[in-house]
Amino acid sequence: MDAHFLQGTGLSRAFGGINAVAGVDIAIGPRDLLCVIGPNGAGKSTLVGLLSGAIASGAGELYLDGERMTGRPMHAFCRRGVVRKFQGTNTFLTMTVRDNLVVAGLGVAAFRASPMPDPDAVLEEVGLSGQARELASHLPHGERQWLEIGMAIMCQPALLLLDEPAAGLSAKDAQRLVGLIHRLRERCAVLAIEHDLGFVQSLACETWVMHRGEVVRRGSYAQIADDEEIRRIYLGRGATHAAH
Amino acid sequence: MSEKHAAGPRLWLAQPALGPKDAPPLLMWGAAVIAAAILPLFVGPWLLSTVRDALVMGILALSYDLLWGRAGVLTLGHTTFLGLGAYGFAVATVQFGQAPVTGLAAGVLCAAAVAAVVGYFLLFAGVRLHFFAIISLAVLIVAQQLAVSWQSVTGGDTGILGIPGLSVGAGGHAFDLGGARASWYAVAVVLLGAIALTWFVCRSHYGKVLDAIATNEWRAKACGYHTSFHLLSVFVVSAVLAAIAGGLMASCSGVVAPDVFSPLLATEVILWVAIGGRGRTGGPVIAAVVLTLLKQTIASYSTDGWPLILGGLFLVCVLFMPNGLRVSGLAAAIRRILRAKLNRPLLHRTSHAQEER
Repeated sequence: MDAHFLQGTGLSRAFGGINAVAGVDIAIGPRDLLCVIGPNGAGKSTLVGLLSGAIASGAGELYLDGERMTGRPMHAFCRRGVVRKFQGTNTFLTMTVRDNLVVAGLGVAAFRASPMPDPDAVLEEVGLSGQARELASHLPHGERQWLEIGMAIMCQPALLLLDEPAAGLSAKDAQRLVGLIHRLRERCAVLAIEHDLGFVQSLACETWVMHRGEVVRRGSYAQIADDEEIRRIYLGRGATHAAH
Repeated sequence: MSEKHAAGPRLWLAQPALGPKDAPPLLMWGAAVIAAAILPLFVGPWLLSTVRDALVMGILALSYDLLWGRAGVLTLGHTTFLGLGAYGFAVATVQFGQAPVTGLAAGVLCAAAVAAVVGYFLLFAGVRLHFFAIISLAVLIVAQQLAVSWQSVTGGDTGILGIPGLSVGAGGHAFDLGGARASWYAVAVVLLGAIALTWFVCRSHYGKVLDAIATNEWRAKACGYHTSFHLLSVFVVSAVLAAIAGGLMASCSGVVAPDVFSPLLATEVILWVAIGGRGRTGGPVIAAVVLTLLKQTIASYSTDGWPLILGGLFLVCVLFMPNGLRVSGLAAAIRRILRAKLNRPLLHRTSHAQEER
């Protein structure tokens, strides 16, 4: 148990009688990289919500570093290192890009009474140095994605939860993101939810498939891609290629 | 929880280096300090006390700007705390014969306690936006009823008369701040001091955090901020500032009546901040002072005119100046009108419209 940073057992959450997440067991070690895929409505985002404290679980237990976190508020999760990148984008629109990063880093740094990461270095890392003084609302969608990822890095994550990080990114940017995720893995664990199977393939990591709130397969991407039932669940009838 | 928030106050209050952006406010407030210092030498006692009372309203506007303009918490009952400060001062000095400084402290403590209790139960329960505004109005009305009906302490409808002026005892000497000039200086020092403090806090990292919470509270939570705690702190600080204004108001005018709790004044406070520009410290204070002086001028002609004018101003402000009255906005409007007059093609019209939004 100590080997795992995050340990969840029997995590469940129902919305109006529909089990969005139904009894998921999850354990994430300090440098793990995990991808969760699944069709729309499979409960992927709800799972991220449960792991980040944004959604209270209906049943199940969640531990971070051995500390029981079930029912704790979202900011407590962030302070303990579970940092989330939202689906779509969610930034402080009225503030400049750099201020977004400063604010993102300050909360955790003040809580831990430690200096925060250098915002300019993070700007460099996500490739937004040129837009540091722009308002976040003036950024196009793709750049806002990078800003979100920068904000997550500023929070000094131990586990980074990426909710559809490649959505809206060009193929070139998606490859850049793959590189960044592999670099981030040297510092923290990463869990990514993704629709874009090409992106998942290039991450080449452990992949889980969710369907109707349950994790139906766990394995390497290659195994998942070869699985006949997964193709049926994920791609619907008639699909012959898992990766496109 | 709170000792964890105390961790790293240096980080919270870290100031960016002084830049050219800071020149206009510094120059403006420098001029204000000089004006406050020399005005009593040229102006008669009556006008001086009129402007002084307007400056007290400036403190109230500042407190509300902190709450609504910075932290984005709209309330309809901000004068609750003004009234608590005023009544606290009056009750302590007149009914219990305490020194004015004790009275001021009593009013401030009273307001802080009410703000902390009300704020804790509302903000920590996730009550926000118009729900919070409506409940704050209810609190105001409760306070008003209490002031009217608790006659033995608050004097009922008549209020409390004969409130002593400010005086500060230090080292065996009592400094009387009750005179026209002395009270002017007292009010001006408090106002300018409060402005300076607000400016420092809002310029620091903490100001950015408040902006962030006001813009997108959910996201701020996801960045590890205990947003309810921060909003509560701002609410209490704002109440304290409003209570100080109330205490000064009571000591300057010598009388306090239940109409300090009037919803009309609470609406005016919102208007000052809306016209002066939310979150811009100076604008709301100036708007409060100018509008209060205007109100007094108009009240000498007609007593009914003011609410009408106020309503009209509010409409104009909401429709045409959602960001408040700004010099740059006015200049842009004039430029646009001139350009239209000169019949030059309006290539950049859309970009202007976007900037103003």
